[in-house]
Amino acid sequence: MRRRIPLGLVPGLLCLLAACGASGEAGLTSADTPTLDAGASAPAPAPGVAADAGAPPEREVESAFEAPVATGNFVWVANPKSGRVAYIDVRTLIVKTVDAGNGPTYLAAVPGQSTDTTVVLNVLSSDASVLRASGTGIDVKSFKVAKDANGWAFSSDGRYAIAWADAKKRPGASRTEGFQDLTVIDLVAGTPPTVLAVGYRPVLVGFARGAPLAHAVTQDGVAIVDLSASPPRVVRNVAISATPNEDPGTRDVAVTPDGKTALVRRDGSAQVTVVSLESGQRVDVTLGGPVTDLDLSEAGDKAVAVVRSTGAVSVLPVPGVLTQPTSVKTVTVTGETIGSVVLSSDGNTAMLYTNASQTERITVMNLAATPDPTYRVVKLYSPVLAAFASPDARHATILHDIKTQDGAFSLVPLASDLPAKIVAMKARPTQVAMTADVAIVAERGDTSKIYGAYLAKLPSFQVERFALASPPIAVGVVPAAKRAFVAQEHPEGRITFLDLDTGLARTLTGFELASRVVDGSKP
Amino acid sequence: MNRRIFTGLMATTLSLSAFACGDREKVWDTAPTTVQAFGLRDRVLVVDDTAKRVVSLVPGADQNLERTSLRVGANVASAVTSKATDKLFVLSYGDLPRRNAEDERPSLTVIDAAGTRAFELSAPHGGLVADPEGRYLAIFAAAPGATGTRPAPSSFVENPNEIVIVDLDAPPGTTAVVPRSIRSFGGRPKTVSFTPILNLPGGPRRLLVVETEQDVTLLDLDRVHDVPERPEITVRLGTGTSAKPLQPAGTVVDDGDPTRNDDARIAVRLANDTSVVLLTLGPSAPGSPNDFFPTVNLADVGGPAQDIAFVKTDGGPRLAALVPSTRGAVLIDPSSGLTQKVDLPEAYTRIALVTNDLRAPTGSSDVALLYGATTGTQGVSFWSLGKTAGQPYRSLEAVPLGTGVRSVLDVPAPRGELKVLESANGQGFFVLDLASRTASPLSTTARPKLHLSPDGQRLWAFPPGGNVISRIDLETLHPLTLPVDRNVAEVFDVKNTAGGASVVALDTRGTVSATVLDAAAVDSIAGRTYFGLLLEGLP
Repeated sequence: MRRRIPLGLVPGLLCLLAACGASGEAGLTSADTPTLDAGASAPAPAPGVAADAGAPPEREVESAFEAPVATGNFVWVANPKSGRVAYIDVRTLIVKTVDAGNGPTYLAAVPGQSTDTTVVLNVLSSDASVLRASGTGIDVKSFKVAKDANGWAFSSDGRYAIAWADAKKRPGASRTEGFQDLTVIDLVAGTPPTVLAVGYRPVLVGFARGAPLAHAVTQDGVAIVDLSASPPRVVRNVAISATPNEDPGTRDVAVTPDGKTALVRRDGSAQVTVVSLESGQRVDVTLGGPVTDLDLSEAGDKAVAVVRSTGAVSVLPVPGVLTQPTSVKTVTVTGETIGSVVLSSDGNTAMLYTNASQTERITVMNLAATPDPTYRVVKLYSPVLAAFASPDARHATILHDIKTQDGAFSLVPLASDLPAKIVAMKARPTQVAMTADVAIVAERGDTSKIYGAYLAKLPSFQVERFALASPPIAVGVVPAAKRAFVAQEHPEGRITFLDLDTGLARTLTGFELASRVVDGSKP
Repeated sequence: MNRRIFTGLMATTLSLSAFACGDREKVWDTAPTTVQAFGLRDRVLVVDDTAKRVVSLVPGADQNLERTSLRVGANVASAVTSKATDKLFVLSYGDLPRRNAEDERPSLTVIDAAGTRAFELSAPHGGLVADPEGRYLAIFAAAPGATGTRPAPSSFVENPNEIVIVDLDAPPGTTAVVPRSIRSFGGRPKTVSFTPILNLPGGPRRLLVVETEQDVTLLDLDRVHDVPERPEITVRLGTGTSAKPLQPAGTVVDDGDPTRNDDARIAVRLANDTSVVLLTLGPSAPGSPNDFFPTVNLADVGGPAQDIAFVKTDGGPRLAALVPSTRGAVLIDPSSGLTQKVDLPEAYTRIALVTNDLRAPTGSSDVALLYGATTGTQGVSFWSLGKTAGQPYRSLEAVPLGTGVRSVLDVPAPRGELKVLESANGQGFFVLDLASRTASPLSTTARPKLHLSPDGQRLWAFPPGGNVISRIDLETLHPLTLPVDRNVAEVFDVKNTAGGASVVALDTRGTVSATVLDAAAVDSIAGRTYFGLLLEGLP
């Protein structure tokens, strides 16, 4: 039960993974992991479907933190108070700032750019600043955006950006606030932004790969935006449920990268609804019990659904399942409790586990095996909280859920049957980032005031801990600079860089101050 | 008292009378004022500003005193000795305003055993700082009222951000005097210091560190002769969002791991903030004018740090900050910014590393001496930084003295394990043995002025303006009081030309007199007093 959140990090440069392994999601925040019991009370089942034997639902572990973001050469951090965005050269660690608008807050990297480019939402001036590195500094261009915008979505080529309002970041908002405005910005043409209204409270905004279309998943359906029109416009709204009164909070919607198909899972329901966003056709695929998790491959060619009550794992071919609902292939994992699934980037490996009960195992399933997927069970030594796969699908980081002691994580080989390595932590894990070569796990103990980060080398699983001076809020890796970073809470801004070759740490505190170092004739 | 009184005064008086009927130099009409005296290893130098000279006093056998006049520039602004006490640097404003060609320009005169070397300057400044390693001097506009600097004799326009570097070992083909106007954002230099050699990305370098009221400037001394000149690097200590910038109050420097060239650090404590600023000197961006660049790390220590020092601990290198307002110290990991508070028995304000004085093996964790003169401070503490991890409270050993400590004097080798602690209450001093951690009190009836012999054998104590001096044998701590004829303003223990050591007690009033004693004398019977020293050698 989770959703994808646009990351704002250049794919391939920085792999920041959220719980449940959705590649491209932002790191966990302190609000996510230490208080995961918030999701322990099961919502009411949808009408007409059976609850899952009284067991709590799989818990959602997602990111709510926006900054910092990394591009090829810089890590960017917004400072809403000063109205500036600091950008740190990841090689020299030189900090500079650039003026944005009033209250720059929500920062994201623009993909597909030849130069480092980010865009930040200025919440107090209701505009956005596009920050593009040039030979002489940072070029800034501003656009007006709709009020309350707090999220970004980008087309894969970086031409289009959509600023939108995610109601989950405004938990106290009244029901009359619909957050229905999308601001479509053509970053290439530089034409004035277009504000479009979509359905009530969007939860996901994305673009179709290879077509000038965007979509917004809302409580009223999926709105389709035609970007080729001048100005862009909403061309249709595709219903994703036959039940208008369905509680949208109980469903989990994923859209394929080509923007043609949506898959809907509902809490407590045995059905997965597959919707053609082109034709509006809906197909309900009924599985053997309430589907507790559904994950879509990055390529969008398959979805994997998990039924915890039966231990069944169903692979749905996409979009084939629309025309052949019976083409689903199901494998039952016997002797294990599995309720969550995380797919690797290539979609060939699935990590199956449950965090609804204290289970100390994960199941690694090879989806590419023929004729049927095969699996093996990996023994761990602590209950599973969340799983993250490396981009090459060769390793995974498992965060453990320990209620009575400090946290722990395990490093698991996915491509071989070597044993996992568990690493005891001094506090609860909060953020994870992985590349093919390293994993970095942050820990945060607010009561004990213990903060740290663990850098694990892959495949050796050599782990080194770095103490931090303040609570971590985001982690990342910039492979081109061979550095990992841990952003931390500090009124003046703080980030620690870890050299992946030497293991040496370097902390920068006071971004505004650091940016006022003057070398040469230009202050 | 069977003592010999030098009769040169009479001879001088007679010779003066021979000129009495003709024109005489103006110097004869001007009384010597603000006489300053300095001790080098083998001589005492008396700055006679009125006569544009320094009188060199070299003691010899039988308490003889060789007296020589050395020309210096007009209107002495300040004078300092080299750390090695082999040179005296005299900075002069020159004649102000300069009305004719004969009037002197500002100048710097370097005096050592070989004679004098003068450097003409293009602008008059009052501030003078000598490089501890002896190569450079920095001349700059002294802040009004700065200690050791005389105000300029007449008003003039001064660029407070001009700093003149004098390179005493300037490479051939370059000029020794390099004036630089540092970039200003409204501040003016308050403190100037020199770093030791730092292993920086561009190679080994020495830097000039300039503190103003609101920023810190770094100037690459090894590139100071470059043409075109390399600009300095300015670290502005303000966010730009507040009109109240952070005010530097002192810096310390550490080269870091000798095998690395990207971890040299400069720490800046702040007078008006609870943070300290750590500048790590890493690589610069391509195309930058300098080949190093400081990155900034702020660490909050809970109160204004009164003193800071880079230390080696069992947990690695740290910056130690003394925060008397919290009666504690904070150890800062310069890599992570992680801080560890250590409660102290008293609100110490000063920290001095004594590791080398204890002859600790290379690489050992440091031992620091903590002291201070704040109200309520009753002693000093040893801080063993090899016990910081986990048990910082066990790393402290207090030495109660019944008084605070105003200053600490380092006893030269071979008695480096001794420190002389000047009490805050002015009623004496202590000789602290670092090895045994004992503090021997020596009482005085008035606040004493103290002077250590360069061979580490003796400590001289005297009441300023009194007519006794006391010698304390640092082996036995036995004090011996020696009466002298004149009121003593300064005492210097210097090598004499006979191979021994002499003590020269100066009365700097009037025309200055000097009493010369064998430094090892058991009484002052054999002492010789020389009167009217500033009447000698005049034109």
